[in-house]
Amino acid sequence: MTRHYKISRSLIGSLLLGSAIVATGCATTATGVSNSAIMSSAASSAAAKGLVVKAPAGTALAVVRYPAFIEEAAEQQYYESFSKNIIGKGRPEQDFNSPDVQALADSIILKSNYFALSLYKELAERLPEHSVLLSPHTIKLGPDGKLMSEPMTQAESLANVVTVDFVSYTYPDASKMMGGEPLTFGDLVTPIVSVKSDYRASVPTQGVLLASRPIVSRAAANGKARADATRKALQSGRLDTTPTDLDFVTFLNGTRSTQVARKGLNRTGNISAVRAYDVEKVKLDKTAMKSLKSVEGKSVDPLEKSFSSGFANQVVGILNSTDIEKATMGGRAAAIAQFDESLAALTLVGSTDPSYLARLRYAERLMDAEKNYLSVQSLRLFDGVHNGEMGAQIRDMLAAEYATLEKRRKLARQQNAATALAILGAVAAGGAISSQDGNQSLGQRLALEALIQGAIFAGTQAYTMNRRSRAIGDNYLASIVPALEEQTSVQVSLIDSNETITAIRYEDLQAKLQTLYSQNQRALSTVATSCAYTHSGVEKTGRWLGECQGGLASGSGVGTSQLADGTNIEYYGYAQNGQAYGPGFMIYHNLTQSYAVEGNFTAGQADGVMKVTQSGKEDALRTYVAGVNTGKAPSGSMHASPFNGPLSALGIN
Amino acid sequence: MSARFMTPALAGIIFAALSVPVWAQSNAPIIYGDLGTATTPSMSPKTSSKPAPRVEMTPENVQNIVTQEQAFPANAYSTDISETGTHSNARANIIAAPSQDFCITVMSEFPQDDGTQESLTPRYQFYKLVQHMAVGATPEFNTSLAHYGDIDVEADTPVMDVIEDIANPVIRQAAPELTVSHMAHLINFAQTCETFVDGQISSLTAFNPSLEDDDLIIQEDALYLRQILSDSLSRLGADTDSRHSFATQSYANSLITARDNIEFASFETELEELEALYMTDLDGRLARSNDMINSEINRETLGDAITLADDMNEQAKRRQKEDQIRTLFRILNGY
Repeated sequence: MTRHYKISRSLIGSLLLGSAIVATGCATTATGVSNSAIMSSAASSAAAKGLVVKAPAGTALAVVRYPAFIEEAAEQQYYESFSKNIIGKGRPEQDFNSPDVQALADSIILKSNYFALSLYKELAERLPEHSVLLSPHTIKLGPDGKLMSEPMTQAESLANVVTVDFVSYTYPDASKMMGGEPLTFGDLVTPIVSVKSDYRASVPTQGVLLASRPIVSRAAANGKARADATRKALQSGRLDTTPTDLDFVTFLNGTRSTQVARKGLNRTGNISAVRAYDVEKVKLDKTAMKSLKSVEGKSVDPLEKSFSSGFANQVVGILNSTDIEKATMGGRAAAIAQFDESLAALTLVGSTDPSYLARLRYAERLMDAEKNYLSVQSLRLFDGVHNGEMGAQIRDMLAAEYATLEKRRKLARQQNAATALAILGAVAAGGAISSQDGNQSLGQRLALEALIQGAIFAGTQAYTMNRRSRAIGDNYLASIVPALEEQTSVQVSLIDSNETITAIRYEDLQAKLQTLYSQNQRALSTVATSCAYTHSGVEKTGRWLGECQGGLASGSGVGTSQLADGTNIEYYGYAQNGQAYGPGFMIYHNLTQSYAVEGNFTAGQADGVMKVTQSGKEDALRTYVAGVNTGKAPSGSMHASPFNGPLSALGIN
Repeated sequence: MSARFMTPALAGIIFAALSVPVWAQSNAPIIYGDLGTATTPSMSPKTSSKPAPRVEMTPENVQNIVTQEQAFPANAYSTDISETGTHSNARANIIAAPSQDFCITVMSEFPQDDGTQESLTPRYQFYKLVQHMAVGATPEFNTSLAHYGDIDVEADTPVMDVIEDIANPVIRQAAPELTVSHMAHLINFAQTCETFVDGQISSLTAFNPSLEDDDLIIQEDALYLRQILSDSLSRLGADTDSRHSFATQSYANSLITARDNIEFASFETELEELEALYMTDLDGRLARSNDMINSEINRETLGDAITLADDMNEQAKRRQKEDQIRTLFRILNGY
């Protein structure tokens, strides 16, 4: 009996410890937020007034990017990166070779593909026809062994005002499913998003305007990479650049990172900083979840009310406050350069010359045709995925996951109840033991034994409940792997088949449009060429694309050069004798930050009232004399701008 | 005039006009009025959103309609004359337009209609052509025309003769001042009788909207004739005359703009055709592709997986329950 007591006391001790752990970290029921910060953000309601800006012809307002599938060669690297570079607390207990981890990794792609369409739908409802495009990405293995992503369509080859990256994320450990870690399962979605414009529209943040907190620095790194690539292209006389990796892919690689100023999601003021969105598990609309398997399932969008409608409002608000001209000038020039290099660089600043406007009108109409074509492609992609069998199966999957999650929640609640009983029993038993004086009657001893046994039973029940709860979900993931593979292959077929068709047809259309364009062109009175551009302090002569005279920059265009300290300079505006002269917009990229000044330039130097844009601060008007900042500009001052000409020959969409 | 000196479209217009029956080319002053809605029930809501006036076609009322529509074409549809009973007081509302006689006389020399669709086309084309010919003619430019033209064209000169003379290469080489006079006559008519011309065009297109299909060709013809005028003025030295050079240069610039617009419209038409072709093709291909892939999807895979997951979950629950019972048994039996 003594031995029995010892064992019992030992059990009680460990039980109490376990109970304490469970009591403090009570088995959670995988809750999420019904009201996302995105929905409640002030910007969301402010944006409800609708779009008040317009994009120039041939320009998309928003492009939604998301991971669509992974090439086989990249799968292992993807699983490994997924299990190492995580969003959430602590370290996952499972390694990347486990089927559960791989199922979770695969489900990220699948769910992102589905839920990104919700954003697309909501944006398309709020923005003009043909102004929202889908850009599904393929995750590949790069030559350096790291992951990379490439767009499957040409959607990013056209100018756009903002790109939206979307991923529905899950922590790479199924055993943490019921805890606080990020999860996309059943009625829970963890959106990881970023909204970016071209870096020229938000220089200090590298174009990043809003991003989920864990990927802010990765999104900024991609923005910076884009800026670097653009500058290198300009130096070699080209205007085109390739689209950047998805920010999520850069996050998985864990290599590139650029620090930029951040501010809260609700701070929509003019401070140059990224609005950071905290990671949250969004709980989907319960009514919609219950309707997923009904005949109306196709029209049900469980993400709409809890996230995507608010997010679309956020994007509209962002569009309203974005400098459209700076956001699109690079993309437009690059798109035009594909069929008219003589015109392309002139469009960066624009001109009122009739021959320029006449030609631009053709170019814009051509780009509009391309945009409309890509828009139809996006619509069909949406239709194929959302309204097709694949969408139906994902909805089946979501419904099954929801049922599984609900079972786990029920067991978790039972476990909590059992744990509470165990604690009560243990406390009662402990109290009895502590009051014993060694002179217990047989009745007392029996009563004490019963209490201890009761506590042990309750504890055991809590333990088994926990095990059972954990098994449910793990079992689901283990069994769903073949289905995920099937889904992925369907997805590949669906997008790849469409892409094969559309790529061929798109190239064919482009060729025909370019022929039509060439047949209809008359001479430009001024053409864009390449020549020398200099700046005081540069080690070697830079490159100018635009109007030239005598081999030197003269007129409008873009110039690039590098200062002796390594600072890179981009200049958009007017030049004379190879130097900035007249209204201009100059961007400086140094090792620690990027900033910009806009105003009048004389002999390459800022001269007069300049608008200064720098990290963490509101734009300010300063007075410059021969390139030196002499202080705050007098009240009521105005700065010169090279962008006061017509934004578009065709008008704006 | 030989057709080889004209654009194909212009030759077509003139040919079409010549095809109008002689009786329909009479000097009768009634022009649009005898298309009167009482005899043209096709002025229906299907072709025009504005209700056409309906009135008994007595000679008095016909004249009344003609005058009202010519003076204020918008009134042709904005007021339902039939609502005023027998309309014996309608004449009291007639407001005479300036130069009404001149306008009616010139218009009587336009191709007439015989109530058939075919006869409407040349009529529309000529009104539209004359309307476009006046584009870019400022008061200063009209002064230049008056200066360099040397005859007054009679109001009752058939409009076709006037256009033929403008397009005649011999006349424009040998007597450019005649070309200027003829153009000045048509420009003067288009500007003085703008309301009448607009009314005619609106009425005709309301009657048959497809008449607008050839607008681009008519614009090209007008540009061709305007270029002849610009060349003739240049030949007469207007562009070097300090009193007239600004006006003639502005006119020449307006020709460039017009040419740009015509070329762009032509480009846009071609592009729209390409766009429609490719987008319809794309849409169809993608729809078929989606259908094909959808039909190949093995829907049972997911269902099987979910059933398997449920089975595994049930097994797990059963196993845990058994463990629980065994544990309880051990506890109650004192290990």
